[in-house]
Amino acid sequence: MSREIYQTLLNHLETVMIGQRRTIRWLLAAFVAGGHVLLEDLPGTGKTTLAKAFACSLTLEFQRIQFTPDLLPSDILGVSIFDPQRQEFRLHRGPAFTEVLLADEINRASPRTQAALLEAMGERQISLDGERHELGEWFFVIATQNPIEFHGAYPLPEAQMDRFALRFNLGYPDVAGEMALLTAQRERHPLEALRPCVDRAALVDLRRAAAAIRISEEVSRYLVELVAATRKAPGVAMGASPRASLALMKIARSLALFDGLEFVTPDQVQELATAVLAHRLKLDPQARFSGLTAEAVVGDVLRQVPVPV
Amino acid sequence: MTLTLPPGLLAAALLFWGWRTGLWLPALPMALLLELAPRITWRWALDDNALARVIDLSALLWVGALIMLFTRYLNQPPLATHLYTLLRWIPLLLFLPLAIQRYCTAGAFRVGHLFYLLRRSKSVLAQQALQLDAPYFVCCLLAAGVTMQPGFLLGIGLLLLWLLLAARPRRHRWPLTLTLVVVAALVAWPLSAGLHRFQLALEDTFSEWFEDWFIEVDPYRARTALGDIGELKLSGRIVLRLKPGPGDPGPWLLRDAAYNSYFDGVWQAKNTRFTDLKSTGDGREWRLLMAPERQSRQLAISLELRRGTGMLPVPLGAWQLDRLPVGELQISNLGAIKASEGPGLLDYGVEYSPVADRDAPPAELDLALPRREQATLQRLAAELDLANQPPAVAAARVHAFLLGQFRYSLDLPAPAARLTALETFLLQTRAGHCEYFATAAALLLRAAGIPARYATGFSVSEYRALEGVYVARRRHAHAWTLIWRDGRWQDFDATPPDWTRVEDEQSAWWQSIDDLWVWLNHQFNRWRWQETTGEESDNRGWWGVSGGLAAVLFWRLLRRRRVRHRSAAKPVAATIWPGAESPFYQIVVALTTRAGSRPPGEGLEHWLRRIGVGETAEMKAMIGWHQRWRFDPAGLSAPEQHRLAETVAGWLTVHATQRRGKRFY
Repeated sequence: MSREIYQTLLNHLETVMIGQRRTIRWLLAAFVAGGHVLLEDLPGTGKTTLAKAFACSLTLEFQRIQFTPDLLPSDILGVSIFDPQRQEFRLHRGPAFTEVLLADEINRASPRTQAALLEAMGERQISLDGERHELGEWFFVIATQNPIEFHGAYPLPEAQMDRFALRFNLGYPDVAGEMALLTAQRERHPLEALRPCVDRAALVDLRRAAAAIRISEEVSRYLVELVAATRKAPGVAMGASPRASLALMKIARSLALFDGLEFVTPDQVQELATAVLAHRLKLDPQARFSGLTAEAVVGDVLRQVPVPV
Repeated sequence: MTLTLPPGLLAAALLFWGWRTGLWLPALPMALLLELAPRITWRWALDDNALARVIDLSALLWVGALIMLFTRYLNQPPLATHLYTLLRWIPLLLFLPLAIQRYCTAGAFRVGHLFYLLRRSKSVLAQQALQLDAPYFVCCLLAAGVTMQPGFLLGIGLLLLWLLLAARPRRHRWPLTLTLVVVAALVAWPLSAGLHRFQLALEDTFSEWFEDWFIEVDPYRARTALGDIGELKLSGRIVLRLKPGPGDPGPWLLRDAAYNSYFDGVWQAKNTRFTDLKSTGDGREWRLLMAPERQSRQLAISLELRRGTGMLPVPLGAWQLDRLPVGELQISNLGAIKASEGPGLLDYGVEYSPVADRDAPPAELDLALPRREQATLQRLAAELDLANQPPAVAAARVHAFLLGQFRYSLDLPAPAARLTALETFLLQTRAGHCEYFATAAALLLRAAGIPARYATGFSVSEYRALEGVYVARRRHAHAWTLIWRDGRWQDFDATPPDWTRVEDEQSAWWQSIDDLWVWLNHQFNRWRWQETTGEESDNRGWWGVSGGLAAVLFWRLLRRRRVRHRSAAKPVAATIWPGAESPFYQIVVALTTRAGSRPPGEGLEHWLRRIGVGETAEMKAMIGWHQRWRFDPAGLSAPEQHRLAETVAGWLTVHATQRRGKRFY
């Protein structure tokens, strides 16, 4: 049942994101696991389209914030303004009060503004004027950042990075995919025709089913060994946190669900290990300048830690 | 794949080693230290440099041990004993890195730590983790094997059984492993005995061959410079130091060897035989003769012994040697003393008496004249009227003849036509060095019917105030005559007494600098060999140095930050995961032999797809069952297990037939 929901979503989203099955699968895995996603890619690869299509298909409320250097925390979270008629402060909620939030070019805002999202992402709540506002169980952030634009960009602090369950890139579609894209958009954008395909009850089912996926002690150990190995890997100043282990486990469960299994196999752990772990690693400056990347470190770890078969 | 030892095995191997080699005392705390590591909650936070230093220190310990054993070897050959000692010590010498590995946060060394050139390298090889447990285990077994007694094979068998049971492939149940190990042990037993026999046979053959080809011929043959042309050039290098006892004014003639047969410039010791002497007292005292009743004197002689073997120069009439730490001492019937298995520097005392004598009494050889010079010698003897004179008179006449009409010279002229070198010396040049004088005197006395021999050694008369001792330089090597007088052999030196002056004139201008250098060298050697004077405590110096280094390391470790250690998780290898008996592993083994082994990080499905067998429905079904068995906490039901086994068997049958038909998969 749950697998059908997943298949429906996948097929539905693929009408918009042509040739991006892998990306959609990972995005859905993160959503079902309750994690946020950081998309790192070049402009024009369809990051915003993906986020919009996703929100639209799931009947979730959607907001988008374009991050700029002068963006203030209040522009995201909202602000209390004094209402002279009622003689009281009234809260004007910011765009963060939504369900699917697209934070476009998140690394263009100042660290202060970026940090405003920390609480929302970590605890699904916003504290304003000493008052807590719950954001709801579907709160899901899809942030994007452009890797090449270093000017006027503030790299995300480690704490913020750690709050993203996944970081991956969309990549360019292949020739056939790009041709299909052109064909699909000859008359109008498929997004305009996109209608919701699942209701919220189905989403609840999906999450519940994922939580019921079993994981054996051996696979858990393998998962932990992978994460621990990033802490000892040469050239790494700061390895992945236990939060990474948790995220990896939840995401592996979602993938197992999508694969129609009732339990997690090491294959699911391996599939998204790089996307879950790489952005949480901090490399030595020396290693970084010698060309080592966090992805390469995780790749080495995956090759070296013996996988149970 | 790295071999992970089950907990307790390493400690057991250490105890086994301690039991076999008798090194209980270190083995017990070492085993305890290793076994306590998982229960101790702190770890030293050692950085890369500190780990490299630990390896350095360990290397230093090795060097120390090697030097110590080499020193011991020089004192007490044979070499094999000390090599065995080194083997026995291996676990001791390698323990430091292992202990540090257990008690540091890093948990392992890197390959780069072992080599200076790789220390800073970022290469994959240099970064590769180095787990010392398994190599150390092998070292323990190796060291325990030094004493070859029956218990060894049993012990090693049990330890290996333990290891193999723990590390067996998951698809095998333990009775199979046990049976295989027992079978292997039963096969190994006679093989090892046979190997031992073969080794012994090989050793015998080799030593016979070696003796045939490489052992030198009898060295007791002195070739003189009689007949050589040119000039004798002898170095001023000090070779011997002598400290006389009270009331002994010198000079001294220290004899290396004596010879009884002359022919064409060569003196030989014929009919000579060496007898072994037995040490008395503390093992460093050697009695040559009964103690004489009177005129006993003492000398202390210090000289270097090359490779622990050589002739010992002693004065005639030596009856006892003291403080002589050699393994073997032999004396010939002509009075030559040969020491072997000694240290590089000897510092021995000689008790001698001018009236004592141990040399064989005169025989016919001691009167024989060389045929070529016989006529000349007899004519000269007649001219000097030596016949029928008492030895003292004859000796005085020979002495007067040689002293009055001959001079000392280091020139070596060509022999005159139709004359031998000796005849040229006696009849024409009347000049030569000590070998000429000694030979001429000996043969003239023989012509007069008085037994005489030719002796070589050192004449010691130079006093060095710097050291307060008498020294003999290489150019002080001397030859003289032994004459049979008053029922014993006596020294008779017919060389003109100014010979040392002539020799000294030859000395180089840098002689004093060279002397200083030689003295420093001698002092160093004395320090180096001083432990030979001690007994059991002879290695105190090395122990002191090692102990000091260890203390420095320990202090540095103590000063380091310690971090709390979360008690280590249970070792993986010891855990048998569910599904280990899955029959699917038979397919994995079959495919591994065909397509090569799977990299450790590659998942099963991925690997099967890569080698082109993962796509069939049958294979997918088998993978599904296998994975459920292995990774689903709910497990695989018995009927499904049965179906998996059947499918695997079927697949294997097909696979085998395909193999025979040269088709792959």
